[in-house]
Formats: sequence, C-alpha cells, structure tokens
Amino acid sequence: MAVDKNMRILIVDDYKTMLRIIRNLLRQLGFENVEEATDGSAALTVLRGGDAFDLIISDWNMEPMTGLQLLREVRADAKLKGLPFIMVTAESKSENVIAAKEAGVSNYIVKPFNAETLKSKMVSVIGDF
Amino acid sequence: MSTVDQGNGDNSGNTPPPVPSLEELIESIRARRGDLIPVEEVGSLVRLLLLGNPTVLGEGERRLYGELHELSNFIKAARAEIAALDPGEIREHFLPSATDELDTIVQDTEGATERIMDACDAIEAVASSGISAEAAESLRDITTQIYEACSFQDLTGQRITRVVRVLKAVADRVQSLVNAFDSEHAPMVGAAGEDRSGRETDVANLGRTTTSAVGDSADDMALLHGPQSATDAMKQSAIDALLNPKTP
Repeated sequence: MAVDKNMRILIVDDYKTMLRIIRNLLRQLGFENVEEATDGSAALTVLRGGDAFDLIISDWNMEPMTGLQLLREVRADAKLKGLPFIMVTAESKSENVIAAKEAGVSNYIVKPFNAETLKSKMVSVIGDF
Repeated sequence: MSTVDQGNGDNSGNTPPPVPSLEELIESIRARRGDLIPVEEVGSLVRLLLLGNPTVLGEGERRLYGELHELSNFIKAARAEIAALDPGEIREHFLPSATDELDTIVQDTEGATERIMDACDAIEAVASSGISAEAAESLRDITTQIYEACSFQDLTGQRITRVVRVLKAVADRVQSLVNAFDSEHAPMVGAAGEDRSGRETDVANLGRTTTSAVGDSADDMALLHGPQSATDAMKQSAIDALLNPKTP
C-alpha cells in the first residue's frame, strides 16, 4: 500500500534548529503535515489530545522527559503503543541502542545524519515512498 | 657543659661524640636561652629535646616523627593554597562569566543557523518559481546539504551544556576542598540547584532533573552520554546491525 504523504508526523526535539531542519527535510521528502514538541512531556500531551499521529521522530536527550522515557510511555499506552517511533539522537553508544531497542524503538538514527539516512529509516518503518 | 649533638656523628671512622643526656640538653638550652622561653618556641624546643637524645625516641620513632613533621608542613602548605583558591570568586565571578560566554556561543550559533536556513528557504522559493527542472533539482540538493550541515548547532549546544555542567562540578569540588580544610570559616553549602539525590555526583548530568515517567531510573540517567567524538561514536551502519542483526 502506498504511503499517504499526508500522514501526521510528530517531531520532538529541544533544539528549535533541529526541529526546523527535520521539518525542512520532511518537506523535501513530500511530508508537510508535521507538528512539533520540545520535549517528551509536551509530545505526550500532543499525542494524547486530538487526532492520531502516524509517526514519531524524537530526540533522546531532553528535559524534563527524555526521548527514551517518551518511547516507554508511548509503548505503555494502549492507544499509542503501535505508533512507529524513530529515535534521532547524538547518543551513539551500543548500550543506548540496546536500551532503545528493548523499549520498542522502530528505528534509530545517530546525529549528525543526512537526508538519505532519514528517508531510508522512514521507509523501513512506514513503507516505500 | 656538653655541646648539643643530635647524634649524627661523623664518617671519618673516628669514635662518634657521646650522645648528650636529656639533662645535658636542657642545660645547654638554659645556657643559651635562660630560663624564660617564649611559648611560640616551646614546640621547636620539644622537638630538639626529642631528637637530641636517641634514648627519648627510638630510631623508628624518630623517623616517624620526621615524616609526620613533613606531612604537617605539607598540609599547612596545601591549606594555604586551597584557601587562596577563593571558591567564592570562582562561583560568583569566574563560573557565571564562563557560562555566560558559553551561553552566548549557543545563542549566536543558533541565530546564525536560523539565518542560514532562512536563506535556504529563499533558495527553495526560487527553485519553485518556474526555473528549469534540472536547475530546481540542483538547488534543492544544495539546500538539503545545507540543512544537513546545520545540525552542527544542535551538537554544539549539547557539548556546551556538558561543559557548563563540568565547570559547575569543578566549582563544587573546590568548595568541598575548602570545606574540608577550613571547616571553621567555609560555608557548608553546595551549589544552588544542585541535584544531590544520594548518588555519586555525575558530572555530565549535574543539574538535570528526573521525572516520574514510566521506567525513569538512575540507569536512564547513566545512558545520557551526549555527543561522542568522531572516533568514539558508533557509525550508523553499526547501529543498524545492532538494531536489526538479521537485516543486511
């Protein structure tokens, strides 16, 4: 089934520059229905209110709620647990990847990354586009 | 009156001079100083008496006394140096000055990055303005590369945040040293906003708050390493292999 490029994507990062970068890259890939949150708590509020999202792209290192904590909250929530979740982070140790995998991450991108990597990880999670 | 002799002897092979008795040492001091000795000199006189007669202290005890004396001098010198550190100045002037500079770096680089991306938006607008498809594709490729490069600002900010935490940890350590060596005068307080939740001070995560989120734990805090150096960071391919071991 073809990917709906009007799908709702939530990007989460405490650096507004990174939010803008990811939004611009998503726009170049054809995805314009993008919302933003600046940490895990704010993201959770957005996720639990209003219409459903189709993909989360989240940083890890945020306060007061990290991306790992957000991932665990999402996977523990009956309505959200099936959401594809891509971690985009500077945390690059194997223990981080293992912890994210155990928490149920769909894919993991290490910063700095390029547009091609973002696309390939999105394809692996939501299908080809 | 016998000459005061600390029993060093000589190496000429001759018979060493007799070791003065305690009474002879006292007489020698009286002859030179009289019966009235200032209080501040009592310590050195006691030392002279103890070391001047090996029957008062054995060889091992004399050596131990010597080492303790050196240790005492070392501690006095260390205390003087630590007192000179002036942790108040570090906390009230040096640290805020350094963190202000670092905050300015983050703000300036963020501002510059925003301006760069504004320019990219303008370029993308040109690419959509009816120029040739080939030219439009080239411009979009170029702006993509610029967006990718701009992510430096995120990593710079994270590294600077860690530096600020390290500086605050150093200031805390200096304060602790002063407290330990000068408890009479040093204030027994830690840094404002410092997280002393009973665990060992984790420099990289000083000041970071914890939440009651699902699974939040000290182990989660230990995962927050921040950006790694180019040689230490795992490559994306290695991460892919770890995440999906069976996927080529």
